[in-house]
Amino acid sequence: MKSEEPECKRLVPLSELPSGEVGIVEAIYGGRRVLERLSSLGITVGTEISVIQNAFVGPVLINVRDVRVAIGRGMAREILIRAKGSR
Amino acid sequence: MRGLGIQRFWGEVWMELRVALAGNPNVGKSTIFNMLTGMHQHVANWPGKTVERKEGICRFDDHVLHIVDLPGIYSLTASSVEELIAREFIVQERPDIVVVIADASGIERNLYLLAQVLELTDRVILALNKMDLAETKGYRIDAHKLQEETGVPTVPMVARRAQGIRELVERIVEVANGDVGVSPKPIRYSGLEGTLNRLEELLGRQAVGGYTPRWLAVKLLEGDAEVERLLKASLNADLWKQVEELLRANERAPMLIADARYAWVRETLAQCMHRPAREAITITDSFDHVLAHPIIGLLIFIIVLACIFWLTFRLSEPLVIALDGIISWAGERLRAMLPFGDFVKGLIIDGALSGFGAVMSLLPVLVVFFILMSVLEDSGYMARVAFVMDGLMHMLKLHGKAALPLILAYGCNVVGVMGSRILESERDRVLVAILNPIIPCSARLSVMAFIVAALFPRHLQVTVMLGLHMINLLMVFVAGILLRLFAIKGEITPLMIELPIYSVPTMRNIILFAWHKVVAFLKRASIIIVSVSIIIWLLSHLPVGAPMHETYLGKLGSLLQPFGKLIGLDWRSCAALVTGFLAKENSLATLSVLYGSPQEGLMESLRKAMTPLQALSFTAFQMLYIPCVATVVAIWLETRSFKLVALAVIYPLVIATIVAGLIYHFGIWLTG
Repeated sequence: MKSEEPECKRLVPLSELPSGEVGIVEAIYGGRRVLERLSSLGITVGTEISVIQNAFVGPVLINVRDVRVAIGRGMAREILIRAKGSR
Repeated sequence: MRGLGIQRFWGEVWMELRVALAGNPNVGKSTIFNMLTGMHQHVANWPGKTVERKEGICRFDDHVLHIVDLPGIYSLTASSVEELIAREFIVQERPDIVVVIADASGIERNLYLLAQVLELTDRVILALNKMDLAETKGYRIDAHKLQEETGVPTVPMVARRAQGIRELVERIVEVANGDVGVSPKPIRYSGLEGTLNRLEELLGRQAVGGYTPRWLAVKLLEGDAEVERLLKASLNADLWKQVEELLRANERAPMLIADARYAWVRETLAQCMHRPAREAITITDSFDHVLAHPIIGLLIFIIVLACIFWLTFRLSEPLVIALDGIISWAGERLRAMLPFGDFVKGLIIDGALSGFGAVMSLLPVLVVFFILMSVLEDSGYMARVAFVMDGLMHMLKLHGKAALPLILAYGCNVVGVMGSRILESERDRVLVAILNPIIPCSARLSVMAFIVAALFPRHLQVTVMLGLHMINLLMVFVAGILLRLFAIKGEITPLMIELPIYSVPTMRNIILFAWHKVVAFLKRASIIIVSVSIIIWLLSHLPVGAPMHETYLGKLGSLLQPFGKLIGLDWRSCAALVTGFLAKENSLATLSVLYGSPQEGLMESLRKAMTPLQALSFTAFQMLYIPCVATVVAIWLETRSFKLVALAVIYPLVIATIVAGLIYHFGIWLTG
């Protein structure tokens, strides 16, 4: 990766991030239980994730902290990602 | 050193150690448990919970290790029953050693649990399993260095190839004896230390519920409902008010705490792990390309489902027939040999033995099913089922994985109920178990088909069967919604699951799983089913020598007559529905005794005794009404709750009555 590349400012919900894209979790909207559950699965604000599969129906499959996690589409809309481009 | 018991038996001296296994789901925890304990294990439920409690014994030199397999968990916050069970066990039962099992191929996320367990106890060993998979991902992990960094004794393992098992046992003994020290690297909650100290002060020095003030403070900030409840009860109102204020001022704390733990993990790993610049493409990636594909994956699931169905119910068929043959042969022999009168012989052979036969006929089906289920679960495929089915099942307000047990219920409700075990959340599990009874199993389908064939002209039969199925599907839908609304409340949890790496299931795991399941079921079911069989036989043969309508069964049928009127049935049909409780196919046998005449077959007799409308009402009723005894036992085994069992018996009865009543009276009104 080029070091002088300007930081990409594109913010999208996880549900809109296409397969193969990498991004950083910017914000998560949800109750305490959801936040707790997500963080125990490895998803916290500031974590890098990459999308393994997002078919725009059904859940989104991502790679996060060395494991693959499936997130229901509804939930994925509540996770805001700062896209960094594709892998 | 607490808990280190010394036992003397026949002059032998050995030391007893209590060891708990903790870890995320799918880290190979059961494999390690099975390797350690072999056949010396005992499976029960945690008291009052639907969660399985597995315990076993492992002997090593002069030590006896009592091993408890804690439920698979991702964290120790009480957001699920499993998590609560695990942490209460660690704190209240104080095992001598807690082994945290981590999947090396997903090490960063897996060490999050280690960080949490270290907050509860420092008598911890880290078992770093699946080292081989980590290697295929290109991870280089220095277990020695990791041990130095965390301060926790660490054993690298490949449990499915028995690598590291012996080292693990040795390490457990060494740590328990104090030969190897544990000095965990503390976790710093940098932004929160001030708040934590203040909270600790408020909580005072006392350890509520066995937890340290520090831990309680952390959990309070994380928003742990159970800890809140605990402290609210033990602190005075004024102190609690101050605590609440502090919590309100720190609403972002849960995220900060998780961040601090992950930072601890990151820092630790930075020193002892090397990741490749580009993640290697693994077999799992290639498999998921197909198996988790939204369309192809769904098609494959349908094929897999068909295979399971075929294997479970067809593969076992010859065995069922063979067992049936043996039982009836034994019955004939007994009839010839026993020196009793007809009544006692009938009681023994047609009552007790045929009940036993009913249990036995379930055996092959269950064995095959449990083997398949464990293969699907251990291979990692089950998580993909949840993944591809999630969208569809959400429309039914159910979890994606619920598709499997609900569809299998069409083969046998017992299988469907026991299959509910694959669901993670207790609520989903109970809902699937309770929803099962209104799904017509193969036995009920055969009764339906027989009666429809007897009473309806050929060109209408398919339509009638289809119509009944449509009604049934609608009822499953309605029952699902009603149960969610009134009985098993709560929001449907959005799908958030880990898709584990695919792996080849081990024989040992499969066999032990199937064995324990089948034994547990047979133990309960045989006694109850045989008793019910005897009772029903007695009902239909007492008083001795009475004609059928004067036996107790006949009288019971007459007693049910007013109820039968509601749905247009006479006492004979009601009696047949009573005997159907034992096994659904029994209602045909009863019908043939009550309606049949020696000159003609049951079909002929039914045609004379029932109108098509009555037949329709009867079939609809028996398609939906109370589950058979075996299913009731299975529901009890899975839920351990009389209330839920009662619910599972009563609500299908209500639905059946309403549906059959509507069909009958609507029919009467139509035909004028």
